[in-house]
Amino acid sequence: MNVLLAISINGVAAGTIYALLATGFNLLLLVVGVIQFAYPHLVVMSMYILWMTLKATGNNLAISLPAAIAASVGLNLATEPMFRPLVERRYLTASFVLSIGIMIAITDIMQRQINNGVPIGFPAPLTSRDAILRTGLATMTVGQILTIAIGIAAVIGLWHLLYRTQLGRSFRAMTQSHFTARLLGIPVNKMSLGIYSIAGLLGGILAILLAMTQGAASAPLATNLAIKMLAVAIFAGLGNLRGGLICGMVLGLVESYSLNFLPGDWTNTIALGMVVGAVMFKPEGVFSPRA
Amino acid sequence: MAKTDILRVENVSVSFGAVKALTDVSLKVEEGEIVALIGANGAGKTTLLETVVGLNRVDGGAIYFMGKDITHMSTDKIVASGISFVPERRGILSLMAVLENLQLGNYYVKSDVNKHIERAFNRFPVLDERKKQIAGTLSGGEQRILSIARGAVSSPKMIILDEPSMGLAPIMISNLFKLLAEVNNKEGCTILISEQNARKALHYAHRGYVFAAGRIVLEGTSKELSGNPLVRKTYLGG
Repeated sequence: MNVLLAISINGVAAGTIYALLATGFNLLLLVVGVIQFAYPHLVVMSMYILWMTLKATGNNLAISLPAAIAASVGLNLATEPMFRPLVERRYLTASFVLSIGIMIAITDIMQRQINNGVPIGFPAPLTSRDAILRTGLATMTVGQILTIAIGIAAVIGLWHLLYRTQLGRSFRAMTQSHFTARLLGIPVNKMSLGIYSIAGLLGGILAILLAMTQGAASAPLATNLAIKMLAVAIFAGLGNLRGGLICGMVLGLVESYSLNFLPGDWTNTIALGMVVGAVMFKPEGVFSPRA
Repeated sequence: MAKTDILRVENVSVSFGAVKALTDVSLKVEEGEIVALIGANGAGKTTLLETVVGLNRVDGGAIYFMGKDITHMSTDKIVASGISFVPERRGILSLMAVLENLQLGNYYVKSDVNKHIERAFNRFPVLDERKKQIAGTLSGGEQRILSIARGAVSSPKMIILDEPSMGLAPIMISNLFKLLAEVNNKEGCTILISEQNARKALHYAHRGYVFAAGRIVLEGTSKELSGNPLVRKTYLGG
């Protein structure tokens, strides 16, 4: 019983990461109108900035954690001028191509410019590996529990914003039509900057959670996360926020069970299997669109 | 500029690439008026209305709203200054609830938001009954009422409507024009409307302009236009 519980908690913790990644990606897709495939790369780049700040400040978390969040917001905002001409012309596919360019550039920076291309490792205060629960191969760490708690808080906060405030309603109006949103007097460009900031905030939180749970970062981590994020988003239906949350959680759980009960690591195969399955049998995704 | 002019369009020209959509268009709307733009499909009515709210780039000329030059202002600032635009067809947010549509119509209203919405529900009771319903599931006529209610909910100084009767049954068209006349009468809201149903539009409007090939070819009071042989032959069925 303990084993199943621990495996499930592992799965939910991983699922929370995927769900938050898919949420950031979907917000940018829905509200702004860009396919930001490099979103996980910005998250991992923020992990690198967190690592550098920790090094520079003698592992001062009070400075480093806000710095990681600020870096993530800054990085996401920095992509806005690049995407804007494409958004104005509604070149969705071109935004995907641009995001791949951003992805390659960030990967190069991580692989060549920082720490001589060697994966970075986070110091002890952030990555307490003390297991609260350990049964067989499965463990439950402080990082995982914090991931789940912060993930839930982030989702509740975001949902409150989107469904209970005028700002959130305006974002949702933009998901349906920038034209109509403009006619209602919604300053579409300013609001887009708001969404880049929110995606950046989520990305900063993700960077910290990933640093805690993974303990290390590298360019392949970003690529790995990008595949999972895209799998979740496509499986749920591109731009479906609720679907992204549920499918992220499902992918985390399925991965966790497969890691424990199947020989070898099949996690990427499962994620890509979800994409192939969705594309073949339900190309619009398993959830219907909803504003 | 006369004191009562709320909107003045002066020699405005707009082109889309090599195509001239508007040439030297001038018109004015006085406070409290209903002004109708009539003309065939593609005559430039929608282009003019969209240009007034900043959706098209103006090649030449100027647009003034309440004495202020809004020619190159962004749409959100124009809306904030008191113009509400009800577009043809694409108006409502079909995946959001009726109430949410109205709340967004109040984007620039900072106080008494609920009072504004309450008043809209009193005026359009069908929306009150369906306030929690997703707007896309309303009938075509109800959706049009919602888009008008949303345009009027913030008590703007002027409402611009683009082809509000398009695709509606005759009984709905009559109701819709009665509602517009009521908004104009009771709230003193100025209305600029483009309409292919010239008979209805001229019946309710105080004045009108006739568009053809991106130019204004006739203007006058509704009575004058209704009596004009060209208008009668071309737009009122002889």
